[in-house]
Amino acid sequence: MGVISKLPVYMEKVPGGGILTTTAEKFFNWSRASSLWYMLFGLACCAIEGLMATGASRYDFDRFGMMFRASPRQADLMIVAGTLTHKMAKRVKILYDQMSEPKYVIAMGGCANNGGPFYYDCYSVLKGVDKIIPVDVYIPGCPPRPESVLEASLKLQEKIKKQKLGEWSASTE
Amino acid sequence: MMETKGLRTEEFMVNMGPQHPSTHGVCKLVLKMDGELVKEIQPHVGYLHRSIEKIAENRTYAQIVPFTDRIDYCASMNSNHAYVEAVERMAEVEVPERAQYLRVIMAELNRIASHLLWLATFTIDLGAVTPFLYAFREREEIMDMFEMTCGQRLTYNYMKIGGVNWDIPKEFVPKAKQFLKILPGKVDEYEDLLTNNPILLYRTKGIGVLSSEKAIEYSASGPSIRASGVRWDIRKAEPYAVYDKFDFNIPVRYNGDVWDRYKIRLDEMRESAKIVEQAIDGLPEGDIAKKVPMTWKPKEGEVFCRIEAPRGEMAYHIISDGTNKPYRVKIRTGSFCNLQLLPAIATNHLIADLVAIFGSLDIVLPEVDR
Amino acid sequence: MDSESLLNHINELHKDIIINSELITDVPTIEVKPEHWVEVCSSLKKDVKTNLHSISNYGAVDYREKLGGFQLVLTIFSHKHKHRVTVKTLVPAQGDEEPEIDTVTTVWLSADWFEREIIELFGVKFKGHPDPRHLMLDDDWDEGFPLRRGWTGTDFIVKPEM
Repeated sequence: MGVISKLPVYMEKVPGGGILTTTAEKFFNWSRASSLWYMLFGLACCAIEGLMATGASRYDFDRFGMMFRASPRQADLMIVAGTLTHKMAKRVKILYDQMSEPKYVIAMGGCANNGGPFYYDCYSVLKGVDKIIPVDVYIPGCPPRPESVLEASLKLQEKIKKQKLGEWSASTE
Repeated sequence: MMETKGLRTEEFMVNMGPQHPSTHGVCKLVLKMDGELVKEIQPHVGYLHRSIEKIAENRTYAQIVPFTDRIDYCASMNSNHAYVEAVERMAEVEVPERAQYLRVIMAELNRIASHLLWLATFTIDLGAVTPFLYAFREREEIMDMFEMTCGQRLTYNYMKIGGVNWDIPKEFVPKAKQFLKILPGKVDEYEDLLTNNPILLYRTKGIGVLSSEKAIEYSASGPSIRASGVRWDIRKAEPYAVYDKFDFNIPVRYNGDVWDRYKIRLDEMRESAKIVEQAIDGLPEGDIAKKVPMTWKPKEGEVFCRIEAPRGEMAYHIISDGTNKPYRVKIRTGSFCNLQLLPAIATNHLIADLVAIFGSLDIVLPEVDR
Repeated sequence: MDSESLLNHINELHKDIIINSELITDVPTIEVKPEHWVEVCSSLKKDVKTNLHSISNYGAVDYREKLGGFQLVLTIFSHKHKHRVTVKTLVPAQGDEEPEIDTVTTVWLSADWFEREIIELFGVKFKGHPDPRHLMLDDDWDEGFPLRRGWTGTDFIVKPEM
């Protein structure tokens, strides 16, 4: 009974302990939020902090159910970590299109948010990843600390848990 | 039964990257393959071209320092150092000795951190996941030291023209001493795991041999050229800052294969630790920076200054026209030349070896693209 | 050989060709005419006393307003003698012109990417370059040469003065 008593409150326990009832929506959202697999896709400085340091020994991303996948087809989450240039933007759009629904995007760092330090006097940097793909969570910083990446993934999980069942396909249009 | 008559093999093209875990960033390699054998390699770069040279023309000398952090984010201190050293040489600014020592301490700690990061990614390329976690464990210690000094973990903006921005806090020296005490043991630990590991030997010995003639011809630098038997380290050959005051060796190896390039970086970590130890012991008291006014203008002139960054020669060619902004800043980095020689050493290898060779050159793409 | 005697040696080697020579922060620096560019470079590589086998830096500077052209600045060094030399040349150009000069990839293999960068960012063409495609910019880039001074483009925002 230990596990069942710790289950989220929106699951109703039927006396006897063997059966749980919940809504399909809550069940899907719960499972989606708890195993976000992110794409192994670093662009610049933020990749070292956001993907490597966060995934390594001290910060341990795995405990949030976050595992990296090398292929976009297996990933739910794209962390755009770093400066996005015009040359790379086309490829990022292709990668985003290759991910299967439902999919989420975290824009990490100043460059991905709006160009950051490369906003002025720069001919090659796209000023914000949200110009080509929809973004769910923005993380400020140059580069953000691993803790802020963890915070962002928690925020994203919160968002996913509030989603309506029919909504996710519309959210990416 | 399958019809085998008329079956034929032909060469085919493979796009490796720009999104590929083993290209350490956004580099595309267009490969012409004959089965598993790589027949032709064409690197495509520029996916991280951030036009720092253009930006630098529109910023004052002090405002450029944060951008130099982002040229080589794995070793920001070294890129800072190259830039401020160049400007100071051009304008003949005297730097207090304490600042010089602090610069050397930070640059060498950053070299260790950069090599640790390289070890982590290189071994993960070869399929060994454990050293990744080990190397990051030690790297975090260095990040802590940087953080307590300048408040950032990756892009430090620590050095400024005429000195450094912040003095070290009092916790720094004990922490650094503690770290330097354990580091050689930890490097031994990596060596126990890797150096004589049959799988690693099989993947690296005799693979991707770079002869010394070829290394010179392709202007290679850094650990890549020292693994090919060329004793070339700017810290010794053209000492800058206060490097001439320290006693350290330059590890040189002679086979030029992937294993040598791996071993040389481990040895360099030990040597860097020696330098930091000596610098901490000899750290003089005094000012940390010379006052340089905000509206500072160097006189007309130009300078070409290079330093030894973890990935090889990093150089700045700065031209001043007498205003507070440089006329032109040209940045030369180690990875730019080291990536150029990849086709020369990796053709006619298996595609799995290409990953090992690419990893062993320690390419960081923002350094190539700038 | 110290920098001064190296400079004297090079000056003697190319007596009639060098138009300007000086020591800049202790680096021997010579300037030649564009027609002697490859000739001087290859002799600096081959000469036993200079033996400059590696490229340290190779870039262009837009001096169209001041000197009337693009200056190529090539810093080369020798692992054998541990010295370096800077060679400069001015490729004349006015306005939107795209001037042309001989390539030095025939002398140093590693000049390849340096020159490709100059081609796309400055619009200086290299005669005989083996692979003059874009290196940094996208293949379909058509907004001119961004590192020329005064260049502006569609997505280029100039920092306002504070």
